Amino acid sequence: MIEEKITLATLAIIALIALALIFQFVNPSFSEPFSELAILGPDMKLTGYPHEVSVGENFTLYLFVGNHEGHTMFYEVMVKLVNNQTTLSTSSPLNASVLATYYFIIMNNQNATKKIVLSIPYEGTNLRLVFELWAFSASSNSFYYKGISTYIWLNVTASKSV
Amino acid sequence: MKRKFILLSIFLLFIILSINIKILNAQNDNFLDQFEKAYTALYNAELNGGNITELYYKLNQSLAIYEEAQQYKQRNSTLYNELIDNATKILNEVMSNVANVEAQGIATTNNRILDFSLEMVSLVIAGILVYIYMPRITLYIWLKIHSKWKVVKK
Repeated sequence: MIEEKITLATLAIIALIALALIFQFVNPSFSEPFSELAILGPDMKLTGYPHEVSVGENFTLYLFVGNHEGHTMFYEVMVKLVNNQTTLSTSSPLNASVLATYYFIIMNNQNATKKIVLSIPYEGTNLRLVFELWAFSASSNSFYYKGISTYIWLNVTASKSV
Repeated sequence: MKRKFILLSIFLLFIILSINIKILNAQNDNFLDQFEKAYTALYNAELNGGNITELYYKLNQSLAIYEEAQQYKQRNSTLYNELIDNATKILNEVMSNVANVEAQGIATTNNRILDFSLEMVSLVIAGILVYIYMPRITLYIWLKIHSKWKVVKK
């Protein structure tokens, strides 16, 4: 009968509206939360990294950090210097002294680029300048290692005498 | 006597310098502790639906001043202290406003829940009304439309 068909169609429309409203209210996220870390060269590109520097010589790099964690994040980037024998791990940070520390506070789905000037305090060949990404946990009130790191190779020669 | 005086002066200078370095490091640690607290408050405000955009920019401004201060830590302690004070002032501003932002967020979230509940209740009532009255209304309209129809014998 026609009245039954019209009633069913109207109820179906109401059900669809209800589903749309529930979806909008719950607003589920389909993407895996993640963070990004990259080192850019002095021209803010993924090239032109310094390979040969002398002890104490200043060189410029850019740190790029991206936040897709679903909320505002407070990041710490630790810079460490290790030799080529050291293996990098995603589960634990390097057990090496910290050369420098940089902080970022970034809203969700945003990124930040920061100019950094570094100098290496001692000589060495095939050294790895490692950048580790740490994040602050509001629940534990401390920084934890995000398992993200990147590095550049460096040869550090004796300082140039004037 | 003179040698003793020089040694004593060097010793005192060393003590003063080490105390100064300790004070600067303590200021650094203190600022970062406060910054962590401000971030935690901001995080909670955001979690509760607060619009944290303005506070976020202030926190970033404070962090930028703190990082600028680090350049002067060894060279110019007066400027360093001034910059750390400025950064701390901005942090305090954030801390004093974050509770309001969080409260507004909670109120907005509660309103959203109330709106959603009302929409759902309205839809359920609409569904019940449609189920009860729609067949009658449909038949009534059908009859109105077809009331002037005449049955013709073929």
